Amino acid sequence: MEPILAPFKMPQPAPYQSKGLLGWLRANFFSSWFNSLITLLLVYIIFNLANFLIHWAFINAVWFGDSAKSCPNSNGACWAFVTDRWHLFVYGLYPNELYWRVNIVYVLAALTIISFLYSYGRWTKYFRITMVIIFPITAYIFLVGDTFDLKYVAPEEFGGLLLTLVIASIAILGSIPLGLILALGRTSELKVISKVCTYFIEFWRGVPHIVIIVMFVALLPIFIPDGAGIDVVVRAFIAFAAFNSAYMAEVFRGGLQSIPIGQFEASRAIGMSYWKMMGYIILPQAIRNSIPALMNTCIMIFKETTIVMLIGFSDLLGIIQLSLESSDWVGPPHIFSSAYVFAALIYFSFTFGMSKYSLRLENRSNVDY
Amino acid sequence: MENLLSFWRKGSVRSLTYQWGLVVVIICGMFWVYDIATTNMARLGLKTGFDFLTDEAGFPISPALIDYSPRSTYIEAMIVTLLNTIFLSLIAIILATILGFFIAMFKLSPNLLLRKFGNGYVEVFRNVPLLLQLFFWYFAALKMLPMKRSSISFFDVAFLNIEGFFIPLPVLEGGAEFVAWALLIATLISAIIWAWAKHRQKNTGQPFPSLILGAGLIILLPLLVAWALDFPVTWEVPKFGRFNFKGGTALEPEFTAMVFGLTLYNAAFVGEIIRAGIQSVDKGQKEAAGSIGFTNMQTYSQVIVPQAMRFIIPPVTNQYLSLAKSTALAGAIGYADFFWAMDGAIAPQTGQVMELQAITLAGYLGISLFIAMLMAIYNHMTRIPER
Amino acid sequence: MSEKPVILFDKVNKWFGDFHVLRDIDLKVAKGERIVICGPSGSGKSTMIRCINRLEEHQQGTIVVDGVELTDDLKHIDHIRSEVGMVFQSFNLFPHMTVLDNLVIGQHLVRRMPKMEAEEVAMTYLERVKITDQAGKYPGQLSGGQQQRVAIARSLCMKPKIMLFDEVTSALDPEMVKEVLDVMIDLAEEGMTMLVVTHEMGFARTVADRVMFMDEGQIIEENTPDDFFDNPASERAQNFIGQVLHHL
Repeated sequence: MEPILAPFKMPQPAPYQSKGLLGWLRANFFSSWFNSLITLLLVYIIFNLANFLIHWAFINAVWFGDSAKSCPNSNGACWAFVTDRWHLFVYGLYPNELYWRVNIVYVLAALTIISFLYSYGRWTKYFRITMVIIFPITAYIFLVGDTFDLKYVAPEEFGGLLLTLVIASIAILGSIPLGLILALGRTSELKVISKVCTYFIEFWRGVPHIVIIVMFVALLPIFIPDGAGIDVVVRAFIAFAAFNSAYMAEVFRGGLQSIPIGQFEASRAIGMSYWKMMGYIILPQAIRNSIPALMNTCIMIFKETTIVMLIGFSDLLGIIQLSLESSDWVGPPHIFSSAYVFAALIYFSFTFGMSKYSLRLENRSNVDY
Repeated sequence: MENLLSFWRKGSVRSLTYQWGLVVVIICGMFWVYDIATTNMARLGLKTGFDFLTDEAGFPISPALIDYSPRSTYIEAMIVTLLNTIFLSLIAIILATILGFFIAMFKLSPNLLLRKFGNGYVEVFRNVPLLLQLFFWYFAALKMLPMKRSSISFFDVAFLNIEGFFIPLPVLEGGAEFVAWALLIATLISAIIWAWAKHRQKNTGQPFPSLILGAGLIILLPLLVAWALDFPVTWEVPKFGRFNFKGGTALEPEFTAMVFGLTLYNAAFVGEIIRAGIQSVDKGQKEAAGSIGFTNMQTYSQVIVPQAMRFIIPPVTNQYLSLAKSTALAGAIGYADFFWAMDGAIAPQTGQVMELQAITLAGYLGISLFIAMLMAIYNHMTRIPER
Repeated sequence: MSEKPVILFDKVNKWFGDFHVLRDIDLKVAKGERIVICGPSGSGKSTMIRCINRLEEHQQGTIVVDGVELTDDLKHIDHIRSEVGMVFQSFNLFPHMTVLDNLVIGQHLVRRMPKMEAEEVAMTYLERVKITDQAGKYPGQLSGGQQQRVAIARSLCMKPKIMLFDEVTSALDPEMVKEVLDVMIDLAEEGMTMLVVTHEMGFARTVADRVMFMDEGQIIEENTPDDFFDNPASERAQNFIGQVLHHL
């Protein structure tokens, strides 16, 4: 048969209704009657909400003042509460004259974070490792003191954001190595070790965290020879690291299980022992795979620091609540709501920042290999 | 020497040694800890034993789903608060699931605004600590409600004010049992119709609107009977006397704040889980269903949802578990839950921390194990055989 | 063409965003015709046949299937989909149902057949594709070739007028390709209207009435299989066949 040939045609631009701004609008907002209705309704709601927020948070807000009388109107936010008491929120009950020590620690913390956020060419790795080593040590020295001519500050006097960050950091740094060991134990081929680790992990996960903290605070004096000598706050730190290690263990177990069994087999085939295999081949990959879930757990830990309020500690939320009930500021509910919105913004910026960073890590490590 | 080394190198010897070694360490550790504990306790002068359980509690509990007064025993106090915890958890789980379902639908919608709204909701409510949200509802939002005199009225039968949500209570008079019977019979008939319709569809292929019919029957039949008997069920409507409401019952602000806080917080997580589950189903499944001629409804109900459930149920069960555990925060806003009773009320009175801790642990572990067991059963029942 | 074409494309254009994926496609398929569509990847072959059962929407031009024009009308779409069967590269069997249920569910819910009758029909088609013994198994328990045959049977149970095959052997191990192609050859010999997107040239030679070569969204060349493979006229077709025959 004679072939039927068609002359080659160049590509044409898409018709205007299906692409560009109009096409995008049609697809996303007006693709059907119902859709269009919802769009209109939502636009109305969003407009009113934005209007209300701008008035409440900016136009009608009271920015400075020293007591509840400064904020008589409930149509505006009472930011005066924040500007008046902010030093309590940030430093807690730390002695005024020693604030400079906390400031140094905050600056070092910021530096550490910055070291991980961006790439600095060849020196990045050294920068990061240096910060990770010197930060905890200098933080401890400067915060607690008692060496180098620095006055001792008991951990009980930490409060506010300082206490929140300290609890979160200790919980994260303490639970990661413990969690790793537990995860290795749970996935071990030795039945007894595996079972013991499993029960251990499931126990911590089955009980409310506040119960565990109360347990540690109340029972440590009974179970440890000189338990009563350990500061109450330190007992809480230990509790936090302990039960979070169960969640970290599950994160690492997920990472371990995502490694194809061929990696284990290849390592064994070369003749590597268990620990060499884990250290050089398996764990580097497993930890990399665990990073998203790890960040998620870190976010969870950060939010959980608020529960220490129930045993009387003054973390960020605790000290805000105390200030709200103090004689100066106790007052109508709109002051409470302004304070809570402020607290929410602080927590939100930390957790949102962490989750964005986690997304970035995920994307980057997908490209790596 | 040679023989000893090669004996040690045997894999089985090593693994057995490690395992038995661990067992021995644990047992020794337990003895050592027990020893220290008893010494310390004797030193601190703490009583032991469970006899205190039958002592009089001496504190009030509200709300109480069963009879309780300050003269009841500690055991009864524990049971009442445990029931409170379970009841609160159940309500929050149901509401959070419903709301989470809608949030998931928003996030999957073709409308960009709706998607953004869903995303925004999840980001806000997931990132703010739960305790902070509870405080907001209890100390700020609910406290902005008006005083009793100027309650917000819902059709003059329910009243919302700063001291709670006052709702009518049904009062059952003479013919009320018949209405109840009518409800029961209607439900039974609906079930029978549903089964018959399924059977008929199997045999003839014709679908039957049994769902609508059943729903209609359950609503209409009792109503009809009630009308015929001149409405034997009346409602005790709260009426504002001089200072207080008489009649009806009230949902306390503590309870309301807990329900709001738990529902909105967990709905963000549940919504995310449901959305991720639905999106995990292979796109090809939708196309295959479409290519046989399934309508959208049929595609979702027959193909997508059954497969999505596999991705949804494990993480959502985890979330429910987390919800149940987070009820322990209720004491911070004054709701009488199990943890508040054990730690906040009984412990200061009796000082018997060991026993109380043990009971608390047992209580929450029991709830966790129960939920885990339900999930294991579901997993087993819905497994798909593979090669 | 003596009778009305069963598939008609008239100046059909489609864009994915700014990418012009189908350019001015004109196509007529008569009843009982077997058409093989080949070409390099990205040429729009899959997109074109997916427009036939509205898995993809076209922006310009007209598509008429079995006398019904394809528009946004949902009732038309559902009706057409039950008359046009499609087999996918990734099988897409419903993993949570047995093989038998996979074949029955469409008949039962869409054609409203009683289950017993649907099962009988299902068994006959399972016999046609030679897998009656696997009826009670789940898709996850079958091999790729078996799954694809079940997928073909599933589409056939709806008694379609047209069958579309989208690279159905590309995901199979070599030894399973033959069993699936054999089923398709049987189908062709019974007079089913078929549009097959494939790289299997041997199949094309055996069964096709026409071969269409697509590149960059257009049907560049159309001919009988033997004439096309022995003497490709356009330069692009020559390049393509050169590359494909390389490893046959």
